[in-house]
Amino acid sequence: MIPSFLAIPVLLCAAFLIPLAGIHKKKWVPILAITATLVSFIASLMTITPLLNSTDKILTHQMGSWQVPYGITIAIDQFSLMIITLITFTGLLAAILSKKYIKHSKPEYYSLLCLLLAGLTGMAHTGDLFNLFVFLEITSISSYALTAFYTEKKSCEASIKYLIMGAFATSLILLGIALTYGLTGTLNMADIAIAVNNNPSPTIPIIIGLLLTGLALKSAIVPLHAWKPDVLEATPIPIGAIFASASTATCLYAIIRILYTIFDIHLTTLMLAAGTITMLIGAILAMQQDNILRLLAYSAISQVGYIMIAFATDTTSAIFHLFNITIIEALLFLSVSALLINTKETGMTKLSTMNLNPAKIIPTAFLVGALSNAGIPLLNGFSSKWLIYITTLETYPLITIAAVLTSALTLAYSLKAYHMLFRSAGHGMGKGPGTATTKQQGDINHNTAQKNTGPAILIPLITLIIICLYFGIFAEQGELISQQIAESLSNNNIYIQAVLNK
Amino acid sequence: MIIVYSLIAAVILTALGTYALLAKDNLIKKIIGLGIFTDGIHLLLISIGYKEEGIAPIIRDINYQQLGAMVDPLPQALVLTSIVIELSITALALVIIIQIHKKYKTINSKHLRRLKE
Repeated sequence: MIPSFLAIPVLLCAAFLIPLAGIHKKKWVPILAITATLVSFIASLMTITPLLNSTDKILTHQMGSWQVPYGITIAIDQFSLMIITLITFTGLLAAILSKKYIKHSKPEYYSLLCLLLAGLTGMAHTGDLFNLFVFLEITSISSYALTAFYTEKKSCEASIKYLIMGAFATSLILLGIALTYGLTGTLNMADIAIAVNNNPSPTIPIIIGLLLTGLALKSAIVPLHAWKPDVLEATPIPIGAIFASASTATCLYAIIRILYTIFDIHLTTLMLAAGTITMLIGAILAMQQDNILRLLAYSAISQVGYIMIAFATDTTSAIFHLFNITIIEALLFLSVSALLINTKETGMTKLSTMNLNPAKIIPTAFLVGALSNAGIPLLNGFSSKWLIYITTLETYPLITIAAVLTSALTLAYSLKAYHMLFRSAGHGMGKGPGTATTKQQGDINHNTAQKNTGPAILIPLITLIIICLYFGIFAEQGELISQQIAESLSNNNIYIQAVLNK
Repeated sequence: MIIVYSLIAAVILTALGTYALLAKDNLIKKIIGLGIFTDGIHLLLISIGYKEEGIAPIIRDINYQQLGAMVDPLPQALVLTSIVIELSITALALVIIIQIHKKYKTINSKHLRRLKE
């Protein structure tokens, strides 16, 4: 039995218990959600040792003890475990921050949050193509519902837009799975890999196209990115943090699993082209935004471009960047949600005239996230971007130039956002020019609303800042881990043998 | 011969669904189109497991020579799962459309502010 597999039943049970708890004991609701996410995070940490001690570094489990090609296989290798840890970690931090952000501890919010995390964790666990689809649908349905959570005009609009596009995308994935089953007669990923290898057929490019289109829409790769800014603008911001970090990472994981493990093709040209376009268009569109959440959404889209480019050239840097981006996006969105705890205004021009009265940690967290996002040395964003620059420079110097240019754009719009949110005139109200700290001390009694400080905000932000600094300063450690993961991905035979010889 | 008809029907259904999804402005019609599209895929899945003169895949009162004549039960299980998923998506979509109608007094996607962009 795999310890991290425990996360799925725990999160699902929590999703059903939370509405029950919400009927009488509302204060238990956030505590239940935080406990469930904490248990699943600890479970995924406990999987690290058994995974590294196993012979081929893959843990497998057959649901219901069926013989291998039949039944549902749970198979995790190092890449899956990294994604699972990231999902449960960001989920835990988002749940902690939601305790402060969501007023009156709404049970439906926490229930959907746990359902979303269960779906994502399941996607990273499964070794069965149809099971992947089912977990993807669990993720999608809870995402649509969370997008419409506020039932305002913009959230309903964003939700129906996301629902129609997302449901069409998942139907395409289902069509791809139907064709795969027709071609190979099996749904086990390892079994499909063998069947495809033995019997190459002209249907395979169609299948790959269908599966990739569906997953590319889910991970918001240009030109299929249109839903993401609207959705991130409309959801509660802690959920936006999960959408921008864990959801995207998991969909990219699914793409890589399908391409590398099942079909064993790398599609270098396509990944490079899509990656470059995604990176540039995301950054250019982010420059024009006045809404802080839309700006961060386009920024997240542009970072996915880097990961795609890196997968086409050097898997090590891609995995390292995937890890770093997940941490950075979570940090950016969570710091913004901590800042905007008392207001629903998200336009930066208006926010710069408001007295938001942030605690000291929030500007620091946003600045660390923004600089790391732009790739400033000593922060984790730099360590992986540097690897990407070096590896692309050998083969595709033009793309290196595009990547550096995008970093410069990222720095420009991130600093603009930082300046408008934290350093503008409105924050001084009645005080002369001075540092942010002295301004803020004068305004504390101004605000009768909830203060945006306390453990629920400090714990997530400080943890994420520490991780950003750690992998910035000790970059070679992250590189070493990513290299091991990249090696395990480079040869799909190990995965196939480990699953089939169970 | 039936298999050819059902494959043709599956293609027609998916094409119809895609048309409704892209060309219709009414949100309810879009959701109906989505349902038709998914049902086309379901029909395709069922056709994959179909056998001429096949028998039900239950191993009880049959001798084992008949095993080859059984239809494939797996696609039917997949379609059942997928139908449940489609049902929940449709239900959620209708709830959201009701909310949109309350806020905008219309369910025409062209009259919504951001959808027309």
